[in-house]
Amino acid sequence: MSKTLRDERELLSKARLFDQEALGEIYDHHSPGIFRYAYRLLGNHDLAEECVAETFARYLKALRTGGGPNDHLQAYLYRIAHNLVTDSYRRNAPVSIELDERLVSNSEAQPERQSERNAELDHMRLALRSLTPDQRLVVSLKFLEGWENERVAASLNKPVGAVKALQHRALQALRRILDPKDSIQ
Amino acid sequence: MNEAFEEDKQVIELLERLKATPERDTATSANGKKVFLQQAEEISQRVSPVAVVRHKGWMLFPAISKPATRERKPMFTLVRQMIILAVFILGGSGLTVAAAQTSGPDDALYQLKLMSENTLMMLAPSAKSELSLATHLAERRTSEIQTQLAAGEVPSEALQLALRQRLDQSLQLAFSAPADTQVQMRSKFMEALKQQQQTMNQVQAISPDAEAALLRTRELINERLQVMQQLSESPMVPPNQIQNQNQFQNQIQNQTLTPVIESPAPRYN
Repeated sequence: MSKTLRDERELLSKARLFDQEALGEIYDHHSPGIFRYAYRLLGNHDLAEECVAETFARYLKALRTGGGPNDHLQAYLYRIAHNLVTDSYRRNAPVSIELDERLVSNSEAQPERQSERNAELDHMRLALRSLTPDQRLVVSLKFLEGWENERVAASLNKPVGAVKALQHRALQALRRILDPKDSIQ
Repeated sequence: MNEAFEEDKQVIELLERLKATPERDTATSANGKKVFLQQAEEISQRVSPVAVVRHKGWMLFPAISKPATRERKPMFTLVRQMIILAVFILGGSGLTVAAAQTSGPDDALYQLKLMSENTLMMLAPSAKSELSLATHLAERRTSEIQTQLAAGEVPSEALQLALRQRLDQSLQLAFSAPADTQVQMRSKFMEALKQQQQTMNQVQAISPDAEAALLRTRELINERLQVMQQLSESPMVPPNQIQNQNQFQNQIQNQTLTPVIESPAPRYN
C-alpha cells in the first residue's frame, strides 16, 4: 500500500462521512486485492465477485453504526473477506472445480495439461479448506498475498511469534494433507 | 529438519501456483463500484450527518434500562408477595425464638423462651410426651438456678415460681396418666426429681441471699419428691385421691410462696 498512514486516516475520516470520492478511491484501491484473495481460495470468478461486493457492503454497514477501522483498512477488509470465505466453506460442501475458461490464456498449452493443472489447484484449495480459519488466513496472507509477518500479525491482532507458530502448524498440516511423497513431484 | 524444510518449500511452491488469478472483468468491477457507491449514498441519507450526535449506547446496562414487560402476571406477583411476607414473619420470628432458647433469666429474650415452652406444652401430642417435656423444662429451670448460684447471683422469685409450676405440672401428669403407663411415668418423674435433688445438693451458695434461695429450691424439690414417694406406695391412684393430691399441692404452694426460714442464716466470712 503506497498511501501513508496519515493519508489513510484522512481518507477513512472522509469515508465516515460517506464522501463519495473517498469511498470510490477505497474501492478502486482495495477491491482488486480482495478479488484476488477470494478467487485464490474459492476458485470461482462469480463467487469471488460476490465476496468483494459483500465485503464492501459490510464495511458500509460498519460505517453506518459508527464502527469501521481508523487505520489498517486493508487488513480490516481482508478479515471480512476471510470470514466470508470461511462462511462459504461452511455453507457449501467441497466440490470439484470445473475447468475455468479464463485460465486458458495460453493457447499453446495442451488441454490435458491444463486439466491436470486445474485438478492440482483444486487439490490445493481443498487442503487449504481443511486448515483452521486462523491458519488459513496466515498462509493466505503470507504466501499468496506476500505480506510480511509483522503485517499479518497486525491484521490478526496477534504477536509475531503466534503468527509464526500458526504458519508452522499450517504448513505441517498441509504437508500431511497433500502427502508430498506421493503427490508433490 | 532439512527434510521438513524441503517439504515446506515444496508446499510453498504449490501454494504459489494459486497466485495465478484471471484478470478481473473491468465491466463487472465498474458495476461493483457503482453499486457500492449507490449503497453508500442511500445509507448516508438515512442517518444524521454527525454520527456522534446520535443516541447510542443507551442499552449499556440492560438490567437497569430494560423496560418493563407489558404482560403483567398479577397472580405471580400476589404469590410472590405472600411468600416473601411468610418468609419474613415466620423466618424472622423463628430465628428470634431459636435465639431465645439459649437465653438466661436475666436476658431480654427469656420471657420469649418461657412463652415458646408453654406453646410446646400445648402442642404435645400425648400425656406421656407432655410429662416428658414438663420434666425436661423443670430440669431446665433447675439448671438455670444452679448457673445463677454458681455465678454468685440470687435466683429471682419468678424463676423459682416457674420451677414450681413445672414440677407441679409434672406431678399432675404423672398421676393422671392412663393406667397402663402410670407406673412407668411415675418412676421416670421420680428419677428426674432425684436427679434434680442431687444437683441442688451439690450447689454451694456464696451469700446469705443466695443461700436462702438455694434452701427454698431444695425444699421445693424435696417436698415434691416426698409426695411422689407417699403416693407411689399405692400402684394405682383413684381419681378422688388425685383431687386430694391437688389439694395437698395447693397447700404446698401456699407454704412455699411465703417461705419462712426459721433457722438462723449461716454466717459467711
